[in-house]
This record gives sequence, structure tokens and C-alpha cells, in this order.
Amino acid sequence: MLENAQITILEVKDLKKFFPLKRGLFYKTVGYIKAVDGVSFSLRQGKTLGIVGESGSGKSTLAKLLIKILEPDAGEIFFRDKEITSLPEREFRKLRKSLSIVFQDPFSSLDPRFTVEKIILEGMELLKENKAEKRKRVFRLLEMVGLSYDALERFPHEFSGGQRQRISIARALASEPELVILDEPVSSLDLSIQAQMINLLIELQEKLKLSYIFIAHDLRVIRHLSDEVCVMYRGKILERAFSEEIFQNPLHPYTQTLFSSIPFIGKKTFISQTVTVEEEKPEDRLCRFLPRCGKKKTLCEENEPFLKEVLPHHFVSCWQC
Amino acid sequence: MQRESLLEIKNLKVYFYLEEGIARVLEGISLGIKEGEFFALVGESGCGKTIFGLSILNLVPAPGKIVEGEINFAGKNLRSLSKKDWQALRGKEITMVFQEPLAFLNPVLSIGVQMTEMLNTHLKMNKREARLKALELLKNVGLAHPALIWESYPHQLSGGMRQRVMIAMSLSCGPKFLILDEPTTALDTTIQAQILELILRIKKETRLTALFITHDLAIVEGIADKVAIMYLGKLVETGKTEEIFQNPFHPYTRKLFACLLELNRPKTFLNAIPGQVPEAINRPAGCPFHPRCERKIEICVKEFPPETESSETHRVWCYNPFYR
Repeated sequence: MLENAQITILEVKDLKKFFPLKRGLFYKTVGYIKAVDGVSFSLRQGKTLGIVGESGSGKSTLAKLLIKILEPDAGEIFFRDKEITSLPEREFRKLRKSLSIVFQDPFSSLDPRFTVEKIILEGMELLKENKAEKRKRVFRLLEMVGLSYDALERFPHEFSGGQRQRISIARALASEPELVILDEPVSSLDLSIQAQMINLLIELQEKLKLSYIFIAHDLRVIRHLSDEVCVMYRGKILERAFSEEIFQNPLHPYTQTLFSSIPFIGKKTFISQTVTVEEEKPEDRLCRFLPRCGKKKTLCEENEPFLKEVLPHHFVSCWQC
Repeated sequence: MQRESLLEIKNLKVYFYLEEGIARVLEGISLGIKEGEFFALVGESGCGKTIFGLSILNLVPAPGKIVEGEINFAGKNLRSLSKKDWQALRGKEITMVFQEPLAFLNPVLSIGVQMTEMLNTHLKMNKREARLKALELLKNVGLAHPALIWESYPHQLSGGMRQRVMIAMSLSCGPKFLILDEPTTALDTTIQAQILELILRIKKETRLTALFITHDLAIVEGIADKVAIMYLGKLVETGKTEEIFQNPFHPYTRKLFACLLELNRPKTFLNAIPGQVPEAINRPAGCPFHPRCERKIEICVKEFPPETESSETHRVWCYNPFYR
């Protein structure tokens, strides 16, 4: 167990993805949306890396880059020491089964014309197993995610949101992955169903020794599941540390703002340090959080900060820390 | 001295007549909300919270119908109002903020046009007056560039901005009663905090009365004076916020609290509610919560429990509650 924890399963180096903004008659590129702008992190086997940020921070783009739904513009992704961004499609297919993703919206991510059995079987396509074995595993998967066998012949629309998300998880686990990317898997669910899903995710991780990349905007969920947390803002990682450390000692002003807005029992006010929702567009060469930051100093107006280790294994991108 | 209830609802029943049968979405709800009070209605989705909000405004969508019950607002019986009376009341005296503002803002009209229309209809303001008033309101809800918002169309605004616009609009004609249906559920926590802060400020400044519908107990404590817990069209527990938070009696209320993630206990197993809310068309007999309840006793399966009062304000409907 201890040895496993030392193995790095995923390493991302300086990943970038820009979307061109096209305008006018000739569809000229007038600028870029820097959805992911130089993101680096690593994940150890059997652990959970939480990526948290508000909407528009580039979390979902990052998820898509990690499983090659999108091609990055720059940077490298190492999966078990193998660089995958430059891997040709045929080579990548061999690795593909080890990587899975669960999407946020269980209503649009399941094919409405497929039965549950077909949906899960499709996830096994890359496995070299015979049909009987596969069918047996479908049963096991259903059991694992807490659905009954009569679900097999039914269609996604016959299920509630929580049950559909269970189907999505079963499909993601069908190829026996080592790494599962969870893109806001519980945020469209009721709190009671969310609690059930979180229990399930923890249970599966322990049972199957899965590694998770857990993307969410709800800090309570991130706190509950993650071993390490990255705080993302407008395509950049602003702070990264172990979960325990970052929640007790948030250093970046943005992280502090974010944490101060968590609602919990016993907290009677909702004060969030942000002044307005609308922000001016930040300048590319400066800190992205500058327009909303309450602690800016002259240095912030001159140079862009970079991620540096200010405490042991606690990285912050801020001139004030 | 006891204040009169501004909104008094007695034995409200709303049924949906579907092909498969009758869905009893609200099964006899009674509650009173006093002037200046913030009342939170809490339950999972599918419990009938939104339909309850809509039925106050007489906006229950077909094939749903209010089949029984009284709704009295400021001494008026809302169930006997004519269509014309409703038009004068809705949007002026009672307004509602919806969960998904995009679905309730007109996509082809600018925010300015939509706000003017409202102010013109209810307060007979001309265009200039309406613009001034609207800009002031937009500024009050924390939007930094009201003039820009005024010219924008709903799709050009972010989720948090739209929700603010909805709140500004619903406050524009000085309502007596505001229904907030999950106003922050779809938003980031930072924006949620700002919206709740805004609602609290308005509450303090204007003595507004409101019904706050939500499934997240963590935000209720800071905002509501009283809480009602609803399950499948029935109230199961009501009381002052302190009473419910310090001493929840009903097993369902306890379970809702157990679903909340605690920041200081990561990676622990949550004592979640097993199963899910059944559809209203297949209402379980007796107490509707009994199939998911760990404390059920024989009688729960047969009959809905009577009301038990533990204090003047704290009531619970359960045969086997947690007190004693």
C-alpha cells in the first residue's frame, strides 16, 4: 500500500489550451480564450486530486485534455511515464482503457437509444474478453454501483438523475481503469443523493485502488474526497497543497475568498470578500485575479506571479505570499 | 402580542391528473407566514416545494390543479380572485425568483424593456421614470454597471448576473411577499454568498416577508426565521430555525442534516438517506417517509401521524420521533 502511494500515475507539465476568438466577415482571429494556461500537477496512485474553481476557470477543458478529447496546444501529459499528447491514436488506444471519465450531466452523457447493458458493454469494447465474461462483469459492475439487475434492459430516461450517474460510473469502470476523471459528478444532484454518490466513490476507490481527478466547484465535496487540492482560476493554478494544509492554511487571496464562501451549519453570515461579480478582463501578463483582489500591491501591477513553494509542498502563485 | 399571518395556507391540496393516474403532489399543507418573517421550506427534489411556491401564485402548470384548501394573503382569499385581480397582484404584491432565471426571462427582449414593462404595468411609470428606478435597483443588487445591464439581453449575462437581475426585477414594484425558489442552487459558492448577503440586506432594510425554498440546510440557518421540512407533499416538521437546528425531531430532518458534508471530517462514510423520493403517483400509504425510515413502527405503514407539539412553534408529524 505504502509503496503504491509513491508511484506517480499522472503527471502534467505546463499544459496549455487556447481557443481562438473569431470575429467579423472574414472570421479573423481577434484573440484567444486561454482556457488552460500552463497547468502542471502530478497525481499519485490510489489518491484523489481535487481541482476546484468557479465556472469559467477551465476545469472542464482540463478534464477533456487529460483524456485526449481535446488536443492541447502545448505541454505534456505523462500517464505512467508514457507521454500521451504526442502518442498516435493507435498507440493511445492501448492506454485508453486505463483512463475513464464521468461527466457532470447524467442526462446528456448517456445515449438515450442504448439500454443500460449496451451502455456498459460499450465501455468494455477495448478489452479482450469473450462475451460471457463481459456479461458477467456487467452484473458485477451493476452490483458495485448499487443498481438492480432489472436495470439492464431499461433505457436511461427511465432513471432518475442519481441512478443515471450510477450508470455513468458503471460505464466508466467497465474498462477496468486505473485513473477516473470525475468532472462535477455530483453537482447536478440533490444533497441526499450527492451523499450516496460520495459514499459510493469512496468505497469504489478503496476496493479497486482507483486514482481520481475530482473536478468540482463545491468546496465541501472537494474537502471530503481529495488528498491534494489545486485551486484554478481563469486557466491558471493559483494554489496547490495537500487537502489538510490548504483548508487550514489557505494562502492565496482567491483561495481565501473561495473558502470564506462555504456555507456550513453554525455559520450565520455569508460574507464573501469579493466586491462585485463582474470583473474587468484581467491582463494576460499580470495575475489573473488582480481585478478582484483586495490585497494588491505595486508589484502585482508590474509582473505576473508564478507558482512557488512557500511552505513544504504548498505552492502559491501570488506576490503577497 | 401575536402578529397576524400575512400568508395563511390551510389544508392545501394540489393534484396532477395524469394518464397513469392522480399524482398527489401536495397532500394537505397548512402553514402561516407572519409579516417580516423569512420562512424556509426544505426538502429533496420531487417533494413538491416548487409546486407549493407556484400554487401561492396560482401558477400550477396543467394538468395540475388546486383541488382543496385555502390561501389567504393579507386578508384576501387568493383562490377566489379573478384573472384581472391576479394580474394586479402577481408581480406587484407577490413575486417569485426562480431557480433558473434563463427560463423566465424573455430571451428576445433586453433587460431594460422587461423591467420597464413591469414598472409600467404595476406602478404606471413612464419610460424615463422606469429607467431611473430600474438602474437604481440594478445597482442595489450589486451590479457595477447598471446602464450596461439595462441594454443587455439575458444570454449576454452570466448566471450570477441573471439571478441578480431576477431579484432586482422581483423587488422593483415593492412586493410585500417574495418567493425565492432555490435562488442560489445553480451558482458558484462565491456568488451564492453574495446573493444571500444581498437577500439578508434587503430583509433588514425593507422588512420583506419571504418564502425561501431550498434543499441545502447549510444556508437556511443564516437566512430563515422559521423552517418547514417537507416530504412528498406533506410537512413533517416545522419550527423556529434554532429549534430545528438544535433539536431536529423527525428522522427525515435528521437524515437531511446527515447528508451535509462536514469540513472537519473528510473521507468519512456519510449516513445518507437510502433510496430516493418515490414519485407522487405511487405515494406510499401512511407516513410517506416510511419506506426509507429506520425508525418506522407498525402504525407508520398504515396511517399518517398526527401533529405533535413540543413547543408553541415546534411541531412534528411522526409516530417515533427523536425526543423523549
